[in-house]
Amino acid sequence: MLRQKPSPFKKNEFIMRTCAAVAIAAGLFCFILCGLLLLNAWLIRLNDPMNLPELIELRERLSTGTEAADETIETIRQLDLLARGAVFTSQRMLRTGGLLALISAVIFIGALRLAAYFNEAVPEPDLKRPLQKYWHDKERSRELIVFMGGLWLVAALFAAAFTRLDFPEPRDTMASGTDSHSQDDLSEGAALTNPDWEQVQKQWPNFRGPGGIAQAFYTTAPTQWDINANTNVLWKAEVPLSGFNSPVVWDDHIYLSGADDKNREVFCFHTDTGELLWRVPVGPPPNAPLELPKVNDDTGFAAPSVATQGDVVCAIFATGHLACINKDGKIRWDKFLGMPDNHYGHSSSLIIHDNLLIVQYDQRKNGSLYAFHLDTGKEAWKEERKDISWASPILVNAEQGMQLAVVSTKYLDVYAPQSGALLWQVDCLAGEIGPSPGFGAGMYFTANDYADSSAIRPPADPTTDEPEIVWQFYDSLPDISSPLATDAFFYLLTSRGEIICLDPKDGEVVWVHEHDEAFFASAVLVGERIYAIDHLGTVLIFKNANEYEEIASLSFDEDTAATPAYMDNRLYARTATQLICIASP
Amino acid sequence: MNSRAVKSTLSMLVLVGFVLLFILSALSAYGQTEFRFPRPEFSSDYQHKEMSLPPAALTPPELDIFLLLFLLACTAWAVLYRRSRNWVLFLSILSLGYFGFYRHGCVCSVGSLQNVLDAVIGSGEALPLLIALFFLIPLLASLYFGRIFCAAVCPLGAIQELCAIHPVQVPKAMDQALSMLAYAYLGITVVGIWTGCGYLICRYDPFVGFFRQGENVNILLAGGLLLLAGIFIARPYCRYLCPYGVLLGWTSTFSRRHATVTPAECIQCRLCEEACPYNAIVIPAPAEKIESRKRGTQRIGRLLLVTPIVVLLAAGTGWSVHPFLSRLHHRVALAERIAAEEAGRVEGTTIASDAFRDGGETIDELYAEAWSIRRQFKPLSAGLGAFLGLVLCVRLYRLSRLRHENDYVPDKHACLSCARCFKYCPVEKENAPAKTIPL
Repeated sequence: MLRQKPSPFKKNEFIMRTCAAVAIAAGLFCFILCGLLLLNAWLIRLNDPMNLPELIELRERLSTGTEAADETIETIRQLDLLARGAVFTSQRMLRTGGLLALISAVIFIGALRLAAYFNEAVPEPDLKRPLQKYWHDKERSRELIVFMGGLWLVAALFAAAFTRLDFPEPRDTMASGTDSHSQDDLSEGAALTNPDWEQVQKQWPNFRGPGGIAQAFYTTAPTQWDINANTNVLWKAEVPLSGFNSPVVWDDHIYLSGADDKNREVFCFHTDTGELLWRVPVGPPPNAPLELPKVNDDTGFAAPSVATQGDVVCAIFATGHLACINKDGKIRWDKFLGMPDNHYGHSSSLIIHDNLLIVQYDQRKNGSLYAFHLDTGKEAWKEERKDISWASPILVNAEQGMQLAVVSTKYLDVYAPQSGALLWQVDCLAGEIGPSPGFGAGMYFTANDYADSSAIRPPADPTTDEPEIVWQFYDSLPDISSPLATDAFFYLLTSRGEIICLDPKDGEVVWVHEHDEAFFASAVLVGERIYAIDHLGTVLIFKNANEYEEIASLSFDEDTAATPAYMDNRLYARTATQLICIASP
Repeated sequence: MNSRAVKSTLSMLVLVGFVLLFILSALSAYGQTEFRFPRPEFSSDYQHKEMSLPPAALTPPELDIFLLLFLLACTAWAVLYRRSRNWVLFLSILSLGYFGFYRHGCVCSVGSLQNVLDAVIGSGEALPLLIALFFLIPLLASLYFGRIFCAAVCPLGAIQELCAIHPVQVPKAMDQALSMLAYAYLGITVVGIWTGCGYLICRYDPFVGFFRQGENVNILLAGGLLLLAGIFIARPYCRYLCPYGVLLGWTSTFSRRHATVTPAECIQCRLCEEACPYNAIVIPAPAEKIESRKRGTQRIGRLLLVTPIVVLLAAGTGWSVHPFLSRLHHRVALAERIAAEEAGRVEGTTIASDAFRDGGETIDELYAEAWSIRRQFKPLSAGLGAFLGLVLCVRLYRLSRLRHENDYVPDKHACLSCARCFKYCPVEKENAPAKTIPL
């Protein structure tokens, strides 16, 4: 039995209007509240109380130790508390406001629904309209579904055509002969040894030898050879890729790097045979899209020398790619430090202290001095650097402990290598600095062309004393070759072909030797002999004495910019295309 | 100003307010979630307390199950016996309050689909009984009563239903075409779980941000826009995106006691023709000018012939799009990011790339894994394409088949049992209750 029911469509003008008014009021309230919340969020974001410039500055001051620590710490505490209070207050406002906004939104929707409920139109179907729409709808539905399928097809093909996964296929490192030449298997991730300073001194672990101060431990480097006649030449090996970096040596492994605009590789040669043990690409593969930095032809993409501590070798390239490679040729970790903002090309070499890899990454802007844990690549510390430099860091075993010295456009900066704390700095330089600092006779030495050369006595106690500039020399100066300081004399090798010997005590010129060709490689002290190599590969061996006394004038028979490694009875030199091992008979 | 003008002005004001409301709500919630700052640094020996998550406002699983069953039973009663839209709305509010705002949108049957898939084809993670029941119970209920879960129990449906204040009918053809998107979403979900992309339905849940008052700003904006669109296009997420709704539609097709438009004999008054905003009322095929059987048979024959070709073509297209789909995987996305950073194509770093670089993994390992994942996507993308091709053909087949309905009946697949059409039907059983809960 059926009956007609009363119309369910309610009409009530009063309720409708009242509800509409409530909805508008609730909506406006919600709108204003949300606006205020947004303003609050925006303000707190804009002010960023946790990173107040004052707070950052105070922290920096505290870390540099230039102010009374207790007072600074107290100020930092107060500011930090204030900042956290501001953040928490803002959070409370957001939470409360959000809840109120939600409640007002619910009222808004409820009122709107009621208004609609009491204003619903009674259905009035057009009974005269034919039902042909049924077929029409079906036909149109089929068409649209086919259209949708076509749309998907086009979209998929479009996505397939224009989607390129921009990461390279995994690469295999070439590690031929690794088994026969590696001393022991060092698997990726294995614990690293931490050689002490005595062990380090017996190797050639980085640019300019132990500590980077160009003083060889062994005094037996060869003094006679003839490349053309193969006299005293143990072996010669082609270097697959060019680079101005210098070879480093640890036990029976020689490491160096090479690069061009497509490839960046690290090479490992055997010291006895010159056999290429492995070569490992670093960074994106050659076919991967890579934005290259602008580099000078004189700098190239592989100017920084690699550094090793026996178990691993680390390399950096002008593209900003840094890698730590196990001695068996497997990449332990790698990093991209960002495209260097460097108008000649990045050239600062790496150096290792204990378990830390030191990277001087000076740039025009946002330069940094990094220390990375050798075993994991994690950042141990990072110091902001304001000035650019092309020089390399050195490590000095000072009385107060190990010191890390770096130079930039203006300063010689000396850091504690384990913590990265700036111990002291001296304003002693100018211009675009290429030569690295030197250390000898208890003093630091800096030099740069069109500026000066300075002898700096380090403070006995950096917390209380100031460093002292003992003398400055303004005559002919080097722009690439790094100065060599010995206990008795201080040497400058210039790009004009001069060898200038100064007295480290007062900076007086002891002698000057005029050579015809420019010096790019750095001079090294081997025993009581100095090895100086000009850009054509001529090697001048002379005594560390108060007059120029040449022992020999030899040649590598090829252009040379790298500083050789001087080991026991051996010398490993990198020329433009070759790696040469010269051995004493 | 006459009454009509006043109403129209008010409507405009309300609409504009609604737009701004949702956008601002979303942005303000964004503001809440993005504030993070480091813990204080102490130079003393102060030890930070161990980090722990605040205890969740959890209720016993039994209560969740009980409420799910209770609300389903109540909805079945409200839809099938009481035939009351007001009761359905009331139950929607209850469901939204509990499963939405109190339980923060989790546990939810829509998301449980991923857990089930993960247990079966994904990581093989154990499937909790609670999740399994949340997945199965609505499906079983729909086998008997239709999509009563969608009607009032699903919090995602409930929030949209409550916002559907002035729904209009989307043209049926457009409705049919757009509903295909839900199949694509379902397919991508399956591929995502299979390849370890994570729970995509949860990641892109547009309403959970409102339940939790905090979420990614893009998701919140998407949710706000869906609710805004839902004022006029009722339940856009349920109809065009919900992957669980696809399954419910399948099971509901076989439901024995589905809701009916009219409680008794249809008098063909046509009052309900425009009642359903979901186009879920099947209009009887007109007796006159009926399409010839020969033409219909030929169409179906052609469709059956072309189906294998369509499926193969779709599979091939799916295969070709696997690099694009593989970006759904966070490791592939990270590999792309790292490669871009390495090549200097992007400036700065992201939290993910920083975390990666701080870890012990090498870039080569990441690339190798990303390539391996990409390879995994090849057959699955082809399968996804084939599935969508098949769905398209089946949908065309359904539209080509002549239905012999004489009355206005609900489309069991599409009907959400929202009870909206009941009041449009002028006929009622004599012993039907006269009182309803006014809302």
